[in-house]
Amino acid sequence: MKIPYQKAHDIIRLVILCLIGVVCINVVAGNKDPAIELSDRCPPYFRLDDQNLCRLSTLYDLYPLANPKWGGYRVALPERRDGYTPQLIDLGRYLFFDPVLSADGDLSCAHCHHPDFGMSDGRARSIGRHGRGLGPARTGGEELPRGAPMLWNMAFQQSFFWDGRAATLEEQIQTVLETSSEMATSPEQVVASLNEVAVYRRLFFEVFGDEEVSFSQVLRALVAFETSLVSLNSPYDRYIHGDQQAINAQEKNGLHIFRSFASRCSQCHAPPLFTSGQLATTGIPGQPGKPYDVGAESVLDEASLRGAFKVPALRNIARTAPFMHAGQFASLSEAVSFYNNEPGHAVADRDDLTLHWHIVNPHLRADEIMDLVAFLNTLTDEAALPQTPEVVPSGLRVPR
Amino acid sequence: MQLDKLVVRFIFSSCCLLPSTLLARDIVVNPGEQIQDAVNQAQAGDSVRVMPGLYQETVYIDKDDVALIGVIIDGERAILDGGEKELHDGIIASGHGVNIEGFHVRNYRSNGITTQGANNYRIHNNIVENIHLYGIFPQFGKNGLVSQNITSNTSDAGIYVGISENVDIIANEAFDNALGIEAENSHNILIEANYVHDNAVGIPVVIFPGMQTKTSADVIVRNNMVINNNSTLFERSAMKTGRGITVTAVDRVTIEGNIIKGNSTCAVCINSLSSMGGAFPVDAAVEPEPDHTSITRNVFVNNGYQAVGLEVAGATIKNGADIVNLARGRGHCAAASQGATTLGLSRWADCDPQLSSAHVESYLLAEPVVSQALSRTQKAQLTYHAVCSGCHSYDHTMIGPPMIVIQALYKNNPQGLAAWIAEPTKKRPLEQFPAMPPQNYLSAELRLDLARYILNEVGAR
Ligand code: HEC
Ligand code: HEC
Ligand code: HEC
Repeated sequence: MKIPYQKAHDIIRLVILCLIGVVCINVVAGNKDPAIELSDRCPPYFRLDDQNLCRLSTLYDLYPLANPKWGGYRVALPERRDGYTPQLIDLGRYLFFDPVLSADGDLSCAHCHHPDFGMSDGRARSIGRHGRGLGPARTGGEELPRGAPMLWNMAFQQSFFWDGRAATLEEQIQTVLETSSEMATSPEQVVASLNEVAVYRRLFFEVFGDEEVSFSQVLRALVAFETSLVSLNSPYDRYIHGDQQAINAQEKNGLHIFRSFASRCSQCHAPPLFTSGQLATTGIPGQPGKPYDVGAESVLDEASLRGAFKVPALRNIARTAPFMHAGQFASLSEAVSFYNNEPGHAVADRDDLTLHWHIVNPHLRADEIMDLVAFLNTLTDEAALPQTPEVVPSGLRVPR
Repeated sequence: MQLDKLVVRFIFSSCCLLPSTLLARDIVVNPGEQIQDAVNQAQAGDSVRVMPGLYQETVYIDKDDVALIGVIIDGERAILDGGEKELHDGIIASGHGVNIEGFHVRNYRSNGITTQGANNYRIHNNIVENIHLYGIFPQFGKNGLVSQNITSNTSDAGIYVGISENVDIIANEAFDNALGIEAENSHNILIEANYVHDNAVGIPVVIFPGMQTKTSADVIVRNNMVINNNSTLFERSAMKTGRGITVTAVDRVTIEGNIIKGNSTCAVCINSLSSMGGAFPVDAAVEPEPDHTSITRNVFVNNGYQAVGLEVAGATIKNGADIVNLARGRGHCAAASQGATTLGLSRWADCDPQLSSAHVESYLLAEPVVSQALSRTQKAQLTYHAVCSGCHSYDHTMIGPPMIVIQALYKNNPQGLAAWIAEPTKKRPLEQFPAMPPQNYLSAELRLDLARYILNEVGAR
């Protein structure tokens, strides 16, 4: 969809709407101070229930209830994490954009997962501590071994990070906070920094009713925000729900190749989430001059998982070049063409790898690769991109 | 086997956004026309009837309750041929309650007939041949019937049921394929009364690791003819040929009442995942041994006379047997009264003579798989939040104008709102608002309910 979402968000930020002479609403998120207030509205795609909890709504919930783990097209989605208050989700948003969480006060989650870069950072590998700037222009500092995944539909995932090493979002958040090349802090330090900020004490009090901020509250707020990022309304989805014109003939052909058993894309990237949630060794090349990233092998201490990574969801994939765990491919056509080759062709020692049985050479023609790329471009729905706050409670610099 | 009852039942099945029309239509396709054009016109309950002749296309059914029927006249069928255009699949269905019947499907690069995520389907009386991967391939679905099809010359499985539940595979013929009829990572599968011959492996029942489902169980292989599965036609299976029925790490497989004859390695081979070698990564969530296999009342004739690719503890074995066990696991039995030759069965029990799967007449469900029961108002509310709230808020501008503006524009006019969203025209300056995507996939009824919900219910919270 070629809607300039970000532009629309900018308009929201700037425009003060006076409509029909009845309502006048100031949508500017907060001016320099203390006047930061938490939203009482759920994010897009959530409905506020009568307990003041936001419930995810999706048309996929109207489909027959077979086993939702399988995947498919007109199928129900698996269990999700939702049921947080609008205020908690919004508190999580402030934390996400606030460098106060990092040891040096200059790195927020949004430095690597930014709305301007599809909740990723447009980089092959992210830059952590001591870096400056945002996105591809970020320089200096410590380069991480992998790239930042986009954060869509985390509410449905069962494992986190490229190698699946975190079983919960809480674990994932704590890892980022404690990793020395990233936020380099500790739960104690995070809690101490937040308790020093009067606005946070007020906001946490509003949400939790406690005088002091605790670490579990920080985790809860961040999880509430992470799980609010949902993308299930792309042109592809409208096609599946029955609008035969929502995608064009080339994109449809791309869909057919995607779900064909020659390419087997849909076997691993199973719709509607476009991931089976499983680990798979695909034989993505290592990076020149760097040690080979063994992926899940080291997590599970299992040699047959050497080079295995969690199948990434492909929603909004058109927004997050470069691709794969360390940005090995610059464009979607390169990423797709990788599969159109003999299994193991890109790794030095393929005998060390147990390639997934769905990795086969599909012998696609050049026009079919283009159709697949066209199809991947129909998976874009960024209506729920969060707004970057004007200011954050700590008063530190908001990444923008 | 109640094949006909099923058709009727399926038409009243499903689903969701579009309610079934009561006036089912027949849409006829003649040679020279595109089948897909007819499918695009079809609505729930309609039948697309394809007259005999040659058709070169991929037909996809991404909607519910459509029947696609090849009309057979004087033995002539509608032929779907992927050859010259090098097409991937003959027929792909994702809709629920589809019925695919009467075709001759040949020369495709992927599959002949495939469903992904479809429930309540029926694939009946098709001839499927010379397909690069699977002939008939229902996957990710529940409650389906695959009956009286003939599949041959597929370089993988003639019929392959993957990651599914409650599927009956009945009275088909599968021959000259690498694998005849395969059930993978599935539950409640009945494979009955099929004629499975001259494949490399007749009926493999298997669980693979690294898939969305970590268990596979309750498969009945009953009253089939499993004959001379010794094919070396396809290189990838030639090393594993000569097998009638194989069970790999699946639990509660019942093998009963079959005639299993002339399979050179074994009539029945029981494997653990580890006996498949290093081809698969270890998946700690999958238990590698099969449990509770039962083998009763089969007729075994002349199996295991020359084993191919049979290894026990690293040593190659030259002679197989009727029943060869390479696995451990618990609770297996083979009825001694069958008089079978055996290998590795010393720890197996004799089956209880009363043991029978006769109580399972079919694994099909009495009622189709349905969706969550929601009232019309609940559906309207869900649709508002699932779709409209992505671009509209109550009182501020997002991608679209605020609902408060829309409520004023369409006051007392839900019909007008319901009609506009089906075919939105450009209203506001493009610099401020993009065009709104049409919502015509929502049924007229749902659009009207939605319009009422917006005008009467949507408020500040
Ligand atoms: C320095 C850059 C950086 C910062 C800061 C950062 N991340 Fe990440 N994030 C990454 C990278 C790189 C990965 C992938 C790491 C891996 O797989 O080993 C990742 C992975 C994730 C994942 C897992 C996604 C998936 O698909 O499995 C989530 C969720 C996430 N980050 C959320 C956050 C949150 C919340 C914060 C702030 C508390 C944060 N990140 C801060 C770079 C960053
Ligand atoms: C065996 C399972 C499997 C199959 C089959 C498969 N993929 Fe993937 N895909 C993966 C995994 C695992 C990754 C991550 C690999 C890595 O980063 O090392 C991935 C990554 C990707 C990415 C990059 C995602 C990102 O966020 O950077 C794209 C695009 C992609 N696949 C498209 C496809 C297409 C198109 C096909 C079919 C031609 C396909 N995949 C088939 C497992 C699979
Ligand atoms: C992808 C974003 C998007 C979604 C989703 C969306 N709309 Fe809109 N809507 C818009 C935009 C943009 C406009 C303004 C279009 C214009 O003025 O040309 C609009 C305008 C409208 C209008 C004003 C019509 C008029 O006469 O001025 C109505 C009514 C409306 N939408 C209803 C809905 C309903 C109901 C839904 C949910 C089924 C919905 N919209 C979903 C973006 C969207």
